[in-house]
Amino acid sequence: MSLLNVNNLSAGYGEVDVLHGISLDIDEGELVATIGPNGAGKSTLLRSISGVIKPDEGRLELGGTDITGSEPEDTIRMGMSYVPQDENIFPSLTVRENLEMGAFTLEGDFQDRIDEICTIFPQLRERMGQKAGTMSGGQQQMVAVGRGLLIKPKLLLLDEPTAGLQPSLVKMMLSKVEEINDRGVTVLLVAQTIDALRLANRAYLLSAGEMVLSGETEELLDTDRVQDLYFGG
Amino acid sequence: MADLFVNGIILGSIITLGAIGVTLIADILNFFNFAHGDMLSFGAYLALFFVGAMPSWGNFPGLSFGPQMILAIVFSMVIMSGFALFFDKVLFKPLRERGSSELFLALSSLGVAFILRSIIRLVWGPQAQYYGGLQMANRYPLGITIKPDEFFIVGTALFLVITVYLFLKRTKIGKAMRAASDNETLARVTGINTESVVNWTWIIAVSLTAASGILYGIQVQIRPIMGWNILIPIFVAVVVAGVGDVWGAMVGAMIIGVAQEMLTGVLQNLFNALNLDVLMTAYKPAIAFVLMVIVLLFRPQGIFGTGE
Repeated sequence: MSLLNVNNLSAGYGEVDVLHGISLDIDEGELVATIGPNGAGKSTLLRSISGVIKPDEGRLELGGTDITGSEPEDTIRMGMSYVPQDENIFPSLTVRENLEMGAFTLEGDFQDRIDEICTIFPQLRERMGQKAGTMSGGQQQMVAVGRGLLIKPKLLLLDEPTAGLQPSLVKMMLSKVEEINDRGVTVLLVAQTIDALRLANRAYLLSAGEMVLSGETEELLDTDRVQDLYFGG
Repeated sequence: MADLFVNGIILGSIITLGAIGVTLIADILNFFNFAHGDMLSFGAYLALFFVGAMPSWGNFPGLSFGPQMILAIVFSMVIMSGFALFFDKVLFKPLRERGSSELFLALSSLGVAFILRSIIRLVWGPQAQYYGGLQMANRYPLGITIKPDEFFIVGTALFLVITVYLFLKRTKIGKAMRAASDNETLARVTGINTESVVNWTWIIAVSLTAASGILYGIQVQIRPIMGWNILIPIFVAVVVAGVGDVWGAMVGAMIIGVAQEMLTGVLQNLFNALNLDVLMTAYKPAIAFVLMVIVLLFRPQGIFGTGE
């Protein structure tokens, strides 16, 4: 049974329709990428799944439960975390407080979770009391992803976690995404680069709010559309 | 001069409690609450009612009031919080949900200000009133004179500021309030209940301003217009410090309090020496505004603001 099932999803902002009838499936343990040109609707797709924006049509299921129209606080309780692409930290809060906010809806002190996040991102361990807004871009991205991991999610929605990072940090962050997936977290990743796409088992190609192509990553890499997307054309 | 400075600190303590509320509402609810001054007056009048309604248990040694004032402060803070939540439910929340602009929210708060002031005039009348008897000031070195009540005013203000600071720093809802003030969209993404953040913002902001009104009433007198008059230095303190910071609001309030008292005193002496018939106390708010303009010319984001 699939962990996430998106069926015929349409969504947008007010009068502006962005997504038109998107369907996709993610099985437990997979690392799935969505790719596509700018403005294709990748971020809107993640926002709709997380409950930040409400779908106009279609149905969303998480672990077989209908979550269509649910609030983010409900989907978080059900084990789904979403890390937006930018403005994804609270600058005036410390690193620890940022991480804690990931489990705002849940009770407990989550120290064991913070410890585990620090084994993935050791640089955060020494900086727990530092204000997140004073950190470098790469460190802020670690805080953002770490916040998403706090609830020990079944499904992690990651929107371009390498956006704006320098090449060496891109490589590091992608290896962390792989490590997170290896630890048993199912990941839906918006992949901006071909390296990010290569991490994924499967991928969905969006264009102008529609699903135009899907399949195993290796197969997709050979198609003209994906070649055009990453190598111009 | 030292005496004027001390007066400024006392006034600054009273402004601080109002300024923290204004800055929290401006930061989290995104509008300048013009009703804040009249909420301050209303808090003072509620305390007047409670003090009158309670039996007298005698005064604290040296002070002009007794334990009933402590209870009156607590009751007034609680009831004013309830009023604020009521106004939010019937007015501000529907406006937020319709996507009203900051300007309309501010104008609506001006409406609330007039409603509160009318109720005050209707119930308590326009004349000045007092909680208790007059009090003689004690003399200290450097020509400083302080009334015992004024120690209570500064002490209570400091206690409340520290309590709010610890609340924002240590409690889950306090952290959520700071998170929502940083980034409201991300707060929703992380499942923070924005409705309870809004409620707690009102509770803290308005209970502090009620306390501020009572302390102001102890210091001077209780009048229907008292809150409206002190609203100007409160706004200036927030703008000078930069919106959104509790300590900033306190420092801004102290700067405004001290500057108002000292500049008023210095200029008055100057005019007296020149035999000019000018009553400087009438121009206190102007001093606050001039200070605001000077600060904003050099730091448009305020002294502590980050400019975001």
